[in-house]
Amino acid sequence: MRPEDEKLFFGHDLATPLTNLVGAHYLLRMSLPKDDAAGQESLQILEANTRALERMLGWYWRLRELEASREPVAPWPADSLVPRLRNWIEVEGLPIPPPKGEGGPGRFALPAEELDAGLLGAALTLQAAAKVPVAWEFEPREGALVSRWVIDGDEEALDPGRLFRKVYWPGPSKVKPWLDPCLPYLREVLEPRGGSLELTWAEGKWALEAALPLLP
Amino acid sequence: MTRVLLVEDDVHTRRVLRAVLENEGFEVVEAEDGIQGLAAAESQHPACILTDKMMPRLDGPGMLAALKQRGSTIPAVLVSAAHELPRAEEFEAMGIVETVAKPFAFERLVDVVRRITGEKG
Repeated sequence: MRPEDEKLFFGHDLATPLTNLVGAHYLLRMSLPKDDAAGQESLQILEANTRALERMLGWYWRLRELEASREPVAPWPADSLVPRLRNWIEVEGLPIPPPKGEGGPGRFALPAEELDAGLLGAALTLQAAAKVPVAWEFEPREGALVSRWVIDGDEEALDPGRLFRKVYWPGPSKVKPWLDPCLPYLREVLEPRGGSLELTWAEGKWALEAALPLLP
Repeated sequence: MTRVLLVEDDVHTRRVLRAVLENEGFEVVEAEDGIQGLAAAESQHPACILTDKMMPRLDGPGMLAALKQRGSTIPAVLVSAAHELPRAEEFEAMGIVETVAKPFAFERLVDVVRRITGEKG
């Protein structure tokens, strides 16, 4: 598919039927009696699948756009990142704890909006995939600021072989799995610019570490 | 009853948006493209225009720019895919007061229309 056709297809043509599904769900939710068990279950399935499609297509499209653009970024101060993320979490009401730690000195040449989206998306993805709360903190390290998510406990809490490709969303609905290409997106933000994203299991903890490279 | 002009080429989106807005107490006038929308805006005097961007014959921004040139002051909401939305500096020339990216939460769209029209719902 030509890039312009792909853009039209994913960015526009698929957005319309998705909008219609969201709208049909909205109307059904308003009109279905609460005691109609089969109807309510269908509603739940419709909602979960619509959201899954929306998220999958959204991340896929963002990833394609990111791969297509490699424009240089004007440097910006590293200490503005964490307050900005905390603000996003509060404003958007995201179901994740605000990150601990600070940015420290130095500057990034990373695309800010994409970095925010990737970091917040990673936090949401891990929180969804893990069966226990995820701790999130920032720590300055030689030449980089490290964003670390730690999941305490069960090794089975995550499937590392699939995490970068597939995440199972333990939502209230019976509809599973829930696919989210968010981590490949964050990796694509970081790796071409000298950063990294790594998942490790050690001492009874899963840790996902994103190294955000600072300018020399 | 507050009248909203809905300009959208997709029949299902039109049906859903009409049902949602009517359910919230708005009167809805429909148009299938920018040409029909232009005529409806001038004859029906809506309090607000809700328009898609990409449409056959005349697209949403083209319709809004033409209305603005004719002296229209009707506030407009442009609904489209996220990457197609115009830049903020282009809004005024088209009379756009708000943009909403597809797929959107219908609660948010209703809030936007309420705010623009002053309708409490």
